[in-house]
Amino acid sequence: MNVSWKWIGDFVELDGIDPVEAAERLTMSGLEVSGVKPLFDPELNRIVTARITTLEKHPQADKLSLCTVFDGQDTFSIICGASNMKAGDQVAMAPVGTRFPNGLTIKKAKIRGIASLGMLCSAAEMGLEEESSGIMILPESAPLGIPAIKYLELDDHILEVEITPNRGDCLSVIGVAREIAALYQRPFTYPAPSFPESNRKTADLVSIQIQNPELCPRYVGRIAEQIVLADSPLWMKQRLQAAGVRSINNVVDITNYVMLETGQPLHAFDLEMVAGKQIIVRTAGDDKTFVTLDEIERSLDPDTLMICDGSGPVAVAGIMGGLNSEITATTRDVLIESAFFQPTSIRRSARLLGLSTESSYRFERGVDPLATDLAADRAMELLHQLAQAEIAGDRLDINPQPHHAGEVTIRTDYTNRLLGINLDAAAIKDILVRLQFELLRSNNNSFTVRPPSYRFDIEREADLIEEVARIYGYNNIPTTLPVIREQGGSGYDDERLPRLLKSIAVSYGYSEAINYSFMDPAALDQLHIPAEDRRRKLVKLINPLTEELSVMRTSLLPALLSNLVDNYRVFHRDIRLFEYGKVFLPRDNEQQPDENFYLAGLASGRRYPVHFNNPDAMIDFYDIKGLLANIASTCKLNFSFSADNPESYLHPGRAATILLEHETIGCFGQLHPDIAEQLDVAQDIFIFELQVQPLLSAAVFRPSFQSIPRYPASYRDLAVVIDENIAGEKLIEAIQQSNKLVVAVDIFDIYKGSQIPADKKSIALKITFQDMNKTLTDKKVNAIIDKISKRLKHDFNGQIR
Amino acid sequence: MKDKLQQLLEKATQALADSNLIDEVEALRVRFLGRKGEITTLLKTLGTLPADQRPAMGQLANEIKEKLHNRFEEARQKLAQTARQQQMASGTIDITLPGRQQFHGHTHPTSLVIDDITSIFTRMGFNIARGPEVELDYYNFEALNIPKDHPARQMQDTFYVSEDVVLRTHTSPMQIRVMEKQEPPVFVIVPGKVYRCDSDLTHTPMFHQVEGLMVDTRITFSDLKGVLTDFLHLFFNPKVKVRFRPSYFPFTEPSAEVDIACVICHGKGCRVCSHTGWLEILGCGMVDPAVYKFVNYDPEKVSGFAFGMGVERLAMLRYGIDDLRLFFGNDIRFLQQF
Repeated sequence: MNVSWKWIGDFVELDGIDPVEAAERLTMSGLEVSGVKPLFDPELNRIVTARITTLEKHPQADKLSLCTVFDGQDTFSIICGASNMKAGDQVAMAPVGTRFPNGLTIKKAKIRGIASLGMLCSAAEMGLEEESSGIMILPESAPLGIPAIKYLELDDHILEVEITPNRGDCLSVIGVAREIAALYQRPFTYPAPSFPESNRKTADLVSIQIQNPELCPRYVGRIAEQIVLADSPLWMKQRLQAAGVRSINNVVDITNYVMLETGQPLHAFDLEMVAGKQIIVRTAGDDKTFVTLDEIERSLDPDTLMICDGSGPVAVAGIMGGLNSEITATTRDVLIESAFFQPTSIRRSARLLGLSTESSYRFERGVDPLATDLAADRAMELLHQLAQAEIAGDRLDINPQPHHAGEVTIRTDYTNRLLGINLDAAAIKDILVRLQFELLRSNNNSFTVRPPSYRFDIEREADLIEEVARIYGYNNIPTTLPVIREQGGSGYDDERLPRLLKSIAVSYGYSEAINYSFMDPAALDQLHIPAEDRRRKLVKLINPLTEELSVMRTSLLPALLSNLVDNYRVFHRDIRLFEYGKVFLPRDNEQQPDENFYLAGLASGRRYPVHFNNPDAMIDFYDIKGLLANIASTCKLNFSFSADNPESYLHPGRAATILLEHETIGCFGQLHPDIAEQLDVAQDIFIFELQVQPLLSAAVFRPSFQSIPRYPASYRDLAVVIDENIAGEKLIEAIQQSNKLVVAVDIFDIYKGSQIPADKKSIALKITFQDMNKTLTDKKVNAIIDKISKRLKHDFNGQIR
Repeated sequence: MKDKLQQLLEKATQALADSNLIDEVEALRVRFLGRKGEITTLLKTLGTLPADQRPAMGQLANEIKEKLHNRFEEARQKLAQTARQQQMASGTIDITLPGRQQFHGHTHPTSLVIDDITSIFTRMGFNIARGPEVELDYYNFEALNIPKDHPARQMQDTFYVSEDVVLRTHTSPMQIRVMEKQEPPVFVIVPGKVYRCDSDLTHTPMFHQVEGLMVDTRITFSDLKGVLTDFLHLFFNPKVKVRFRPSYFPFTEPSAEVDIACVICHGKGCRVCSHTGWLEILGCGMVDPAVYKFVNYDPEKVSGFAFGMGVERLAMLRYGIDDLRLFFGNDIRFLQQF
């Protein structure tokens, strides 16, 4: 909300207060002022008041005048294109060098042979109004040589105030003025409207009936007759413009002006259009639609409060008026509504209508229920002054449910205990009095007060404590450190595993991606996920941003693949990414889905960075499997891998599921070449995805120590030729199981080629033997090797080379 | 015999002086000092000498052997040294060529900042908790004193899954879940993803927050100031200016916004701080008594504070990142900078 500093000054004495300093104090007491700006560019202060001493036609141009202008000290020769001035007029003169906000700079100019040393300004050129028909003529009384902005009393500052939802009472000039009065301990004066009333009585001209007093506890109606519709005066236009409200005409402007000033939204009806000259406040009921003054037909909820006349609705209460009763050029008599509508009802209606207005914004936060009549009177005063209106006597004030503020008690000891300070009772009392709280009772430790009618946010002791704290000043409260008591550490290992997983991935060259938890449902089609798959059951958003972000992800892979494509497009070829995050799987008969952490990754491109002597190899299946093995061994777990039931999006010959204790916990392999082609990525892509929870349940973070062998290990190499289709894993298992002294079996070469039959492969193994109790003899090791050789021959028809 | 020994010494010394190959030196050593060497052979005749001469002759023989042994060793070392130096001279490499690296991955800046925040708070004694992202309206709003139609709901544009289920708009629901499960004292921080129905230059529909909650018998607003000031000093720098100013959250009272002096312009005013000199860093306040009611805590017996901060905002300030959307683009050129 933008507030004029001078306007605030109408209600509290601002002498000696700097607007920037006041903004700082307001900010530090809870009304955040995000900026203080001069109303006009300071550059415009160069424009001064001056008098036209002589004026004659330009000898070379009919439409130009040649003026001599005197600013009290010097005389300037200025050529002017306007025609509304005469010699002796007081004007606003911009000397050479003045820079206007639109970029125009006044320069020495020669116009048709004659020099011009400045410009006579129109109000539009000074930014005072949107359009001007000539230059601005100032009153004769204007002193010469002072900045025109200052003379016009427009040397103002605009405070940009951010009002929190609990402080609806500050959504007005008066509200901000009240805060300043409390902070600076200066008196605050309410407006006291005064205007003559005609001998016609309001009650004779209109009737007001409230059918839902709980939704409309108070309704004040006043009538201004015989209005003269016109432009508003410059000062009013300026204040509205500063607040960001467009000037329309004097009547509409006055309703807006009073709302900005008092916080009370007003509505003006063309009385002639009010059927039966009666106002009925009731819920919409059977009225299904209504055209608001923005010419949009709205469908109505039956519980929405409406303002109706004898034939039907004329306004959505507190939100927006109707097209059928708005002020037009032919309006003569005006009914001004000033009402108090129940905030939650307005909130609900505004939300259902999807409509938020300056009016609804204030009603939702609560307006002062005791200022309803004051605002109506203030509008009458201005209508009388600015639209020559005749004001009907005796306002109608229907007040079926008068406002009663509750009592609230604050305790000194509790306040000090909560804030960590040591205020005495007098200091607390002083703060409450400054804020206009009515002191009802007190004892040695407490005060009972009645908050002012506009302070809806004060209902409990905590609310009063906050008032004390903010006026005392948060910066005056000390900083202390609490004693942290033992509370039983928990979740320590839960946090360790994710860190470990991430650090393993990073050490393998994978960078961490963070994608939105949303997913495009079409992504599942792209991965050929079968129709009956669990990942097809989706958590759908009712109000997604786009269809592509419309469901919660059931896999981390689609987003990672799209990251791959994005990076590939900018010519990255060596790409390794992982993500650690949740997937969301709906549960039957539960409102909330299962949220499970997954670790997924993808890799494509070279195995090693480009470097002399580095092999020029590409990442393959076994790189991924090695990463998974590292994860398993870090967690002290054994993964097993199966080629059965490969995921639909993997290369069927290069895919594996990951099992932990016979449960499938993930999968990995090469992305199906069909999908890679769709992605337009011309290199093999390897991916993995696994659930984290099973690892967390099974991982061993505190392994028991095994003694380091005292005796040396022995090693033997062995090469065996077997059928090509025998799984390497079987061979390793057979050797491992052949003797308990075998502690490791590593494959160091696999050969297929001319040296052996076409359907065979040769596997070269390094076998490690270890006896914990003694040094192994060659004889013993050789005997084991013989046994292994026999077993390989027997089980695999293997030939030892 | 004495003469013979002396002759052998001279002969060996002479031969050694003539040889400049390490193999020759070794051959000489074997020739003179080996098991079948000349000196050994000579000494075998020691027994033929009269008994009274034997000790003196034996001693002399040993002295000569020792002398020779040292000369051979000296010569061998000298030659070995020369050989090694020649070898090293020919083995000089270009040390300016790049080293052989592995591909190394990078941790996302959001994770780095979350790790930093959680490690500071865990050192202070906070526990870490995590909670559901698809959350009940009750936890996200109702129990945090934000009933339906409350204006504060408009502060946060909410994604809905059903009428009663939302994507959590903040990490605050975990305040309720933690207090429901345990009695005070509660010292907990909650890092996690949150969602708002908003997407433009400065908003993404998902981002990260860290929530904190401290409730015990005598926690004060001054403790809130102390803990958060300490945190900001550790996270940014020990000299950064911190201010607390009143604000509003439905679930805390008194509430505060915490600002730090702009880390870009140091309070002078710049684009990043909208020329105010201050940066809004986190929201906090004393837990509202209405919240205690939902979890059956007695506000007369316990008090405490809660706080929340946006992780990406902290990361942007720490690293000088000027575009929020980079955090979710996963461009390698972005990730590899951290």
